[in-house]
Amino acid sequence: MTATITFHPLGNADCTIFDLADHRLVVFDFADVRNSEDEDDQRCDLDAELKSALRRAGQDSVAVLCVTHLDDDHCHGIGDTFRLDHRTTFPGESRVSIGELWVPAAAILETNLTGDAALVQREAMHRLRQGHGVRVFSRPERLRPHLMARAINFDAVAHLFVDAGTCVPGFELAGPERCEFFIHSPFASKQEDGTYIDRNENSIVLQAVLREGTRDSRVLLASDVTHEALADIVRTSEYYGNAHRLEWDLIKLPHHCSYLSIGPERGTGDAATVPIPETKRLFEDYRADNAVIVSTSWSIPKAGTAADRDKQPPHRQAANYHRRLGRDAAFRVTMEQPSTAQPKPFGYKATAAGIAAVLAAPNAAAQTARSNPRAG
Amino acid sequence: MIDAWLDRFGTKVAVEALRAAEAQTFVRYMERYGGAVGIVRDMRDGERSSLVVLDLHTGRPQDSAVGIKAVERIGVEFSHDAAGMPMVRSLRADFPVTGHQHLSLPDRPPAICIDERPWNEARLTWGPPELLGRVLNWFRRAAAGELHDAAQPVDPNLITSGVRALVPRRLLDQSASEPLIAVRKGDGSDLEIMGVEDIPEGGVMGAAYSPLVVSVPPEAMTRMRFAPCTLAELASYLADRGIDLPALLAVAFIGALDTPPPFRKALDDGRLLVVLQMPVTSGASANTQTIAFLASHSLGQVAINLGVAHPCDSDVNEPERLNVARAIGATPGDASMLSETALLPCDVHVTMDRIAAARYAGTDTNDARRAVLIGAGAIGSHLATCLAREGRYRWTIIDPDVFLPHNAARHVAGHGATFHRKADVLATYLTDILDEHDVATTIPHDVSTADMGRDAIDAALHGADLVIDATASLAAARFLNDHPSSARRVSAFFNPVGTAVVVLAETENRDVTLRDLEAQFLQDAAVVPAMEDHYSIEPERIAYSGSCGAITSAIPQSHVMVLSGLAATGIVRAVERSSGSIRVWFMTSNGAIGCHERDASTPDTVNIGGWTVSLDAGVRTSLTAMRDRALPEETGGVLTGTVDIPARRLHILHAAPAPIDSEQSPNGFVRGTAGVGAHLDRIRDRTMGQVRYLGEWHSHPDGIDTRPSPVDLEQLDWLSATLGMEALPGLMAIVGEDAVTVAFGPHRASIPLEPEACHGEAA
Repeated sequence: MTATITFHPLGNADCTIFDLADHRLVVFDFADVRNSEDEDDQRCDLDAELKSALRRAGQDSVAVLCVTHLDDDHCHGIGDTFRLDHRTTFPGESRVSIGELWVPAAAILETNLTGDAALVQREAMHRLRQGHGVRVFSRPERLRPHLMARAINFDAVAHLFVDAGTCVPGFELAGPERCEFFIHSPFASKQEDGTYIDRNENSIVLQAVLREGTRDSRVLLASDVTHEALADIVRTSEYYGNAHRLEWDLIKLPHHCSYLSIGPERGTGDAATVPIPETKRLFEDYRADNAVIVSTSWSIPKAGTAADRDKQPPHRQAANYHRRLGRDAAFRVTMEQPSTAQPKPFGYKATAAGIAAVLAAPNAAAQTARSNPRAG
Repeated sequence: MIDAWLDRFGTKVAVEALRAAEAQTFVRYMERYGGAVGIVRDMRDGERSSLVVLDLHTGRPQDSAVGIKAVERIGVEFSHDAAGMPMVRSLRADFPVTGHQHLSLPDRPPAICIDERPWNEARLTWGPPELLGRVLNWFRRAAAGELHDAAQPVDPNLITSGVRALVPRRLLDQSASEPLIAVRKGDGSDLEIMGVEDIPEGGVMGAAYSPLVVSVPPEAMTRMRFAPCTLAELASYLADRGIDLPALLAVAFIGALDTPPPFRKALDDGRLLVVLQMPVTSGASANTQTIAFLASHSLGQVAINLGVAHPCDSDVNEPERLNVARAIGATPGDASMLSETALLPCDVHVTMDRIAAARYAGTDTNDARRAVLIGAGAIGSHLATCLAREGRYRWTIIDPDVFLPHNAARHVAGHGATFHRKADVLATYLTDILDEHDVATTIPHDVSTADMGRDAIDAALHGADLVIDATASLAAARFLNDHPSSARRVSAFFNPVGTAVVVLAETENRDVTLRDLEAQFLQDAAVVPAMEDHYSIEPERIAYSGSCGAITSAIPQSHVMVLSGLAATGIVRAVERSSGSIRVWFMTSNGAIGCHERDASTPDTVNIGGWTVSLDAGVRTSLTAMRDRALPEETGGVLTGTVDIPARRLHILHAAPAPIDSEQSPNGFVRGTAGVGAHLDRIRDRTMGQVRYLGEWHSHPDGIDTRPSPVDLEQLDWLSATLGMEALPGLMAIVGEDAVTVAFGPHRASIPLEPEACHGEAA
């Protein structure tokens, strides 16, 4: 089967579901932010979308839930939808099991977490103690003192750490899943004195490669990182001969189309945000022809509106930058597809000829398969 | 061009004002459900149709095979009276040239072909989701480079001539050297293109047309999208592809002046027919599209317009004289002089030849091997018809019989063939299927005749690539088996009641022959449970004339067709492999078809006392197994098999285990009689007496050789006396540690149990 990637209208919040060639689901971020009390809330019911994706794939659990960082717009509602091993499960709960939980180093190190972020941290620690079902993205040595202090045998769990510059174990282009995940961030920079400085340790940035036939489609998932972090990633990859790991056919823009992920200055009016040299290379030179750009955000504001003056993304000038790049790239916003009035999840498939939109003519059979008729 | 066409089409209207109800339905569907796929931009209502313009998300992948955009503007045109398929047009001026586009008029946007079904069929289930689904599917296939087909339907808005032209493939290939003519065929509105040798003996009736075949070189080919309306437009299209149409027309005209009368007369009376051969290549596949244009003028008039001819008066005293004459020394003018000649596109159909037949049958191979068919009766005529319709074989048909009235019950021919030779009747029938000159020849003699036709039959068999026995005659099959020609033999026959068909195929190198296969098949008929009814049900006999030998079985034609079809497929499959095979298909009471199949096995054969004795491989194995089980005692039983007394051949097919009342000991064996009679009766009944008692077998213990002991010699005498009644040798087989000895009377030969070799020895 051809792998698909589905994006969801969640306002400024993320959830990207990969349905791999072997039908395993890998979920990047899960923020079920819709207010079910509000009939006008156009954001999707993510819990229902996930369960319907599982049904379509014939799965009863997700292979991976990757929380790229612990902000609420990336993990809201995880405790309601997923079965967490550190908590008691009550009979009759229809929660979704997680095969592997992927978290950045910060998910272990941060303190004073609350809500779903705290749940994710507890679950990650629980799984570390169990010695399986978790991957922590970090330079392994970084966590040694922290774990030792919590009576966890570091050496017994060292294999659960994934360092930047490598691919996540268990996913191979030659395997039935036909995919791999290359980790860009968090990463450590070696200093002249031989010590390391750990950078961006609160966010996972990765390149997913999906193979169909002889064609590899590259998907860049950029979490919420800033232009400084992207600059670090671009320079590091280029320095270590991993420039090809920066190439992309499909990108999930960082931070809901924020100008800060392009450059330091937003730009005014109808201008486009000016990129710094590293982000210019990433967004322009490493982009394939006919690539797809997805902004997981509210609609791009119209000129002169209150939203246009807001500090919060999406920023019209950032959108202008991506829209004006040409080369037939498609710029898609999750809250605008297919229309701002009625946004719906949308997907892409990684075909033997590259990324293509998933499109079907809606018909009654598909409609009835999706919903139950109700009678009173 | 697009804007001008849209303006001409009609004014922009609201959805309620669209006069085609389907257009309204489609717009509402798109607006309510289809937003993720396309957005309606514009609606127009025209004279005869309504148009919905939309921006469609095509779903094209990054690396599209053709220049499809992520979003394409298309127009869907619905006729007001719903009389035709909605037309889907690209509203982009530089839309790429792909397969599956209609051939349309030059002033209309190109139309894609989304549905090959006739509209009156398609409309039964047609709805907006299906239309949109088919459009998406077209773009998906276009982007994936899967629109290869050469077929190109004509836009229904294009006024077609309705003329169909029939042309043999040979004339498309050899157009330059042979004068061509097109004559009316069918009800008079269609044309058949002929070469000199195709002209019927009575000559050509009525006006004939002058065809000109033009082949576009493959490297210059881009698919034709717009149909040229005049000869000048066609000349311009061809000029872009390096072809000088005015020059070709001038040469064709001058060449035609020197052709026989019907060809020359077409210069005056007929019209010019330009046949265009266009190779269509896409990826690895290559196809040729052939399309023709019927001109409004004769080739003579076109030559006059081009300046290479001048008109001259006809003369009643010289009916052969043309109204046009060559303008000596003139050279053709430019293509603009051809603009007065209008063109109408017509469909071209290539005649049904072997290549086409193979293609329609779904096979790549055009199989022109020489097949000799012996027997042109029920199974032979149907088999050959199936195979010929698949483009297979050049046939020589051997059958001495004449067609009698009752043959029409189960033959491809009918009443009209009565009292003609069956071989000729079938050859005529096969020849009529294909447009080929060498489909079938006949030899109306008995295949085993010693008189007339012997030389022809021998020559045919020696020249054959494949010999198919469809005689249902053991004698004929055995004659063919023994004939010295080398081609592989295949035999096909029904069971007497017409519920099963058997296909026996020799090995390619003939080390397993029809005789071996026939014996092995009979053994299966005797023991395979599914074949219990093969011979045991008595067919209803019908006398077809006064003579007592003139009887036939009651078998319905439907069975003959089903079983012949299975046999035809079976023959093709069998000769694809080098090994030999036995296949039996049998019909069951609920119409299901069962199949029994096995590979042929090579028997051991020895020559003793003037007889050829074959021991089937299965018998050798079972003899050893039964001996081993009984050790240290001796054991034995009865042998059954087939006989051919005139050919002095025996084939041992089965060795039965010892009856329960036998006396077994380490130094002797006395066969009992319990169940022996029933066993032999059952085998006889299940094989219509073709498998019978041949003699006895017993084992010798380890350390004792397989030569007959004094007791054995006594038994051999008894056997000789018993089977001598039937002019058969009484066989004894003795199985020992490492050999089987076959003996009768004073003769014997032994077959080593290592399968390499066997050797005979005189006693």
